[in-house]
Amino acid sequence: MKERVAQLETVVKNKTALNNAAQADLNSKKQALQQKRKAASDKQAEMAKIDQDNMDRAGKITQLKPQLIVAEAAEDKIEKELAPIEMRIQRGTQEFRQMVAMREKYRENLIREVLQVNAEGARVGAENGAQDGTELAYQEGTDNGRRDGDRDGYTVGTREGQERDFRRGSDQGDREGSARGRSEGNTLGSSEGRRAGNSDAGTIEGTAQGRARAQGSDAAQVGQQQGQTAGLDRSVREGDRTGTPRGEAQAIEKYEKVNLQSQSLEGEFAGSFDRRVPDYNGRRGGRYRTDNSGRREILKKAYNDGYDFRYVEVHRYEYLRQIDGFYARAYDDSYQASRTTAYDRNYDQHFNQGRTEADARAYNRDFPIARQAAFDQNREAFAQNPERDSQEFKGSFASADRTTYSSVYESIRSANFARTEQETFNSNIQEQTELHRSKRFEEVSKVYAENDVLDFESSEVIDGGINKIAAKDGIFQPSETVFHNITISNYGQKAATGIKVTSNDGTTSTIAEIPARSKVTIKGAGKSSIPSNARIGGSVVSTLKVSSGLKAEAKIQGRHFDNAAQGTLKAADQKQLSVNYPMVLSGLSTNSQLLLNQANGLKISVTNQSNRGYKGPFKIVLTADSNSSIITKTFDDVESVNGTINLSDAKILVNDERDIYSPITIKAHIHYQGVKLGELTRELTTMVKAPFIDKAGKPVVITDSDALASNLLRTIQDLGGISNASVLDLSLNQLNAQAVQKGLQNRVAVVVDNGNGTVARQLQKLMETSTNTAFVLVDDQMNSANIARTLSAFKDAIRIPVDLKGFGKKFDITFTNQLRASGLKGSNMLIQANSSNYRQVLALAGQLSLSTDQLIAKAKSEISKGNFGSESLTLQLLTTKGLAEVANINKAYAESGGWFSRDGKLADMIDDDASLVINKMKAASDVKLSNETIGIVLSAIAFKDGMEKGVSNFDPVAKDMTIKVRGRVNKRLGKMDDQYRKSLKKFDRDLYNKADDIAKAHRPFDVQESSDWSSNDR
Amino acid sequence: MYKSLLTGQATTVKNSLLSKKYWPGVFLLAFLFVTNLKAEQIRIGIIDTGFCPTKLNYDKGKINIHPLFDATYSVSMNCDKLDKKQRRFHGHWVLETFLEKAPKDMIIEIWPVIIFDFQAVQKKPYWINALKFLESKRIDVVLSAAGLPLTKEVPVDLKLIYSKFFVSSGRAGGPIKMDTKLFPHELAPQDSLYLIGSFYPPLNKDDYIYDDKLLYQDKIDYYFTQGPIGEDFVGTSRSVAIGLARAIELCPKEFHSQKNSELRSCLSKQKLILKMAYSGKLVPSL
Repeated sequence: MKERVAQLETVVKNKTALNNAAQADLNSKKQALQQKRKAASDKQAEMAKIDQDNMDRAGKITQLKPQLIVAEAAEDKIEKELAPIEMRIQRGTQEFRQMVAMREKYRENLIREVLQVNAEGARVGAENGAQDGTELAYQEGTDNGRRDGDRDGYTVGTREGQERDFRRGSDQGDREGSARGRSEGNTLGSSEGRRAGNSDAGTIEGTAQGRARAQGSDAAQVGQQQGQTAGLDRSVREGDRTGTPRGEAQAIEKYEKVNLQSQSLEGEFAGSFDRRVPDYNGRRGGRYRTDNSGRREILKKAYNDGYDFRYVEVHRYEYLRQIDGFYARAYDDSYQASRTTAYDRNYDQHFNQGRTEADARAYNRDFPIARQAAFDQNREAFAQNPERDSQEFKGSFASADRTTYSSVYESIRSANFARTEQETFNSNIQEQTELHRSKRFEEVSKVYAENDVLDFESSEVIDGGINKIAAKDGIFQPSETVFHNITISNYGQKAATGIKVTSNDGTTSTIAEIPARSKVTIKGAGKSSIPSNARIGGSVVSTLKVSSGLKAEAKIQGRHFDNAAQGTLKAADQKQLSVNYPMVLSGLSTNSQLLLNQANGLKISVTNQSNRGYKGPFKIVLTADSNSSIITKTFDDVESVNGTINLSDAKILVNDERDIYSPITIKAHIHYQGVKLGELTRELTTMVKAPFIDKAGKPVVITDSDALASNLLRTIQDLGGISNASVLDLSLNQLNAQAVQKGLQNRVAVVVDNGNGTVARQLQKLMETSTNTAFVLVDDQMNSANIARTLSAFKDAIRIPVDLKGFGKKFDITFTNQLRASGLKGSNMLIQANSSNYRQVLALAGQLSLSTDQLIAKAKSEISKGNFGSESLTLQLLTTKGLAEVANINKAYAESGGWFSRDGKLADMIDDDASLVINKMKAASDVKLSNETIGIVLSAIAFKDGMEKGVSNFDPVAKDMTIKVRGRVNKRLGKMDDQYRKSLKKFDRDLYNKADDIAKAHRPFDVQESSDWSSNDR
Repeated sequence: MYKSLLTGQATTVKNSLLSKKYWPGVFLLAFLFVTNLKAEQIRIGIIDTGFCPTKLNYDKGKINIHPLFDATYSVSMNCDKLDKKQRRFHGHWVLETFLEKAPKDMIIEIWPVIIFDFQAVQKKPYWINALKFLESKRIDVVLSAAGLPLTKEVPVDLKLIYSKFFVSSGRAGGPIKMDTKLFPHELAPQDSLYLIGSFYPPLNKDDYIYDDKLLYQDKIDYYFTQGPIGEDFVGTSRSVAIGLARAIELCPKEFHSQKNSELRSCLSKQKLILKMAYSGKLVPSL
């Protein structure tokens, strides 16, 4: 078909080509014709032109006419040639159209044929596929089923056979093991049972005999009781020994002798769901055949397509539909056969294994039972009919007999013993009691008749006085004799002699005699004394010992003795005695506050605290621990003392400065003929005040002695005594008014205060009248300075925190401002201290209170080129004081009015007041520079540095500094600096370069190099 | 402002998640992170003949296969002889199929359990051991291409645990007959128990063929392909692995729910019906 079509197509193609060629030829011909025609036309045109020209070229017409004829002839020729071609073309086109129509028709026929063939192929394919599919299912199913069945059957059969043989072996092993166990158990059990039975019999019979013997010797009854107890215990033990293993064996038998059920489902990995039946593998069968006939290819293809499609589809379907059946049949048949074969085999190994295991199990199970049963049986039998010649019988017999006899015998014996002993006691007790009573009576009577029998009844003590003074007053005083009176009874019919009485101080006395049958009190039987150092108000213990020898039975004669064997009638008769004086002195006091050089009186009270009156004359003695003799008259003698008497006639006068402001203790005692009869219960400690005595160069201690007496005394003692301090006692208002009015100048004042400012509050006047005085306020609460600053004297005072050499940490120095506080003569300094550090502060205060000139002179002598680098306290103080002055002036200036109305004279003081430190320093440094004067110049440099920084950068001063004052200060410092700057450069260039830096070491404060406060000036 | 734990210094945090404006986003991320964690995890116990996990290819960052548990205490796996024709490795192929089809973005914990002893036999105690073990691991679902053949009713001491069960329905063949009783199949229908059947794959586009040798046909929940033509490992064992993977992909959260009806409902909404060629039977799949 295809070839035909191809042929036709080729023909058509050729025809078409021919046609095209003809057409092309025609076209070319046409084109040529047209060209010709055009040429002809042109020619005609030309001819026309020529005709036109002919007129002119008439001569050429005849020459050109043949050419025209020729051209026309050519044209005719071409047309004649074209005509057949055109006819051929038309013919070819017709043929082509016919060919196309034929092809279409062919195609339709072909399609119809293809479909038919395809359907046929599908039908055949289905048939073949079904058959092949069935065959495949059969082959695969049978092969796989047979194989799987064979394998599974073999596996299951083998396993079951093995289990079967294992069970058979187990059964046999069980039987054999059981038999052997029973046999051996029986043998062993019989032997053991025999021995046990003989032993039992021996025991029984021996026991019986022992019992009978014991009973025959009056122990039978006990033996029986013991036998009953032992038999009961043994039966409990025997039951446990027999029952427990028997129950165990029964439980094992219950669970192990039952056969296990085997599973009914067989097969290897039965229950896992992988597909066993072979799945469709797509392998085509022998019927699969495609079309290889001579049909046209396309028909062949159609056939094969249909065939293939249906073949595979039905092949698979049939396979799947039937495979299970074939497989199952083959599987089952093969499985059964294989299983049976495998099952029927013998599995000796499993048999032997089962046999061995079961044998051991059965043996272990049955042996103990058989043994036990044989044992029990034989035991019972031989117990009934024992072999009396056997060792076990004889042994157990003898043992049981011996044991039984001993125990029964002892029991009877102990019971009889207890009963008999009680009966015998009851019948003999009365007679034996009377016999022993009468004998003893005679013995004791003889002791009383032939000896003394003493008893210490009581005692008392009596004060015997000192040299008979102060005796019998009921008071026991140091060194006083003590008499002891004792009372002793004598029950014997003989007098007692040689009784010794010993005091606690070792003194011994003897009592001559104590009559028979009497009670005697011996006065002064003993004597002792109160120790001379006995504490008044305390007590002492007086101990007395009484001894007497014993000649007769100690138990009788010494029955009242504390220690009859040692002959001690009374070991320690103790009396506790209070120690005191018969009189007491009290209330020693002065008539008023003791003042230096002012006579004063003393008074005292005397009390008789004894139990009797005292007649004198008694002398009262006064003593004082002062540096000088201050008692100008003692008390008059006292004639008698009954109760309390008051005396006030003694005199006292202190006129030695060494005794002022220091504690003075006055003691007193009363005596009679040298015997002290009383003393002062509380000593008088007092202090002598004095008005202010100025000791130049010594610190002035300011306080109120009424409030702070002990602080004052301690301070004076710290300072080394009254000679090292002047005391300004504010409690002596009147006496010290003048001193206060005068004030202190260039002094150091130690203000002894408390945290409440008791003294600080009283400093106003002193602040007003004093100048250049450093007040060091001492209180441990560090608060008195704060209180002092509330005084009007401290109005606008400048408080400068300084960091000075040797002090470690900063503290404040307050400078009063005499320009602001009214009434101030000059500026004073205030520093807070406490009792721990005030002495260090005092040293500083000492320097601080130096005048400016003195400080400058000190600087001049101290500072040198060599030590300028070391911090100098003198320079620091100069700077501090200089700053304080400037600050005070600044404050006065600032407060003097508004911005434009301030008192310029105050600022002018910077320049004009020669007493200011700044000006004194300027003046002092205006020298010709030399090695001798370099010190003051360097001091000035340091001073300048400190002042400049102080007024500009040191906040406590600088923050309030006015422009004007600062400017004056800087200008003044500049002028001072001008004095030596150039000469210093020439004198020592190196020093000149370094001096300003080194000078910073002498600043009394720390300051950061920040911008000045000029913008904040008011 | 917060205090540095290192220096103790207070400092201000700038341009970090701790700034307040980022808090909503941070919380959202945390919420998504937390909720995502729960939805993407599943714990599976697989019960079968034997496994060789070292021979499997899988994403160890997402999938964790725990050591084998031998419920028979008698099996020694020789994975050098791994072979699709050896039934001892049947479980291994089931697991491999599941891993190939399982969702790739899930975190999966797997506990393989052997219940065929050294004699290739299943016994009730093995199943009891296996289920107790898996219960202790708090698994979400049991995958089993095996069932315990029974001679009578299900023993009272053999019970399902709380988890879901995806079990292949099985088909007749060899020792297994059409009327063979199996555990846990005999307990169907139950909300937590899914029997998975299989069909033959189409040759052309949709000519599925129904397998009328499946067991428990009236109890099967879903069907999946038994596997390509010509493959060694085909059947309901393969289809149950495919089925579980597909179910997890469609309804992951419902596997965690204690209400078994939730998973059933979720799967039911997404089922599709396949028409079998020849028989015209309609079977549900996913």
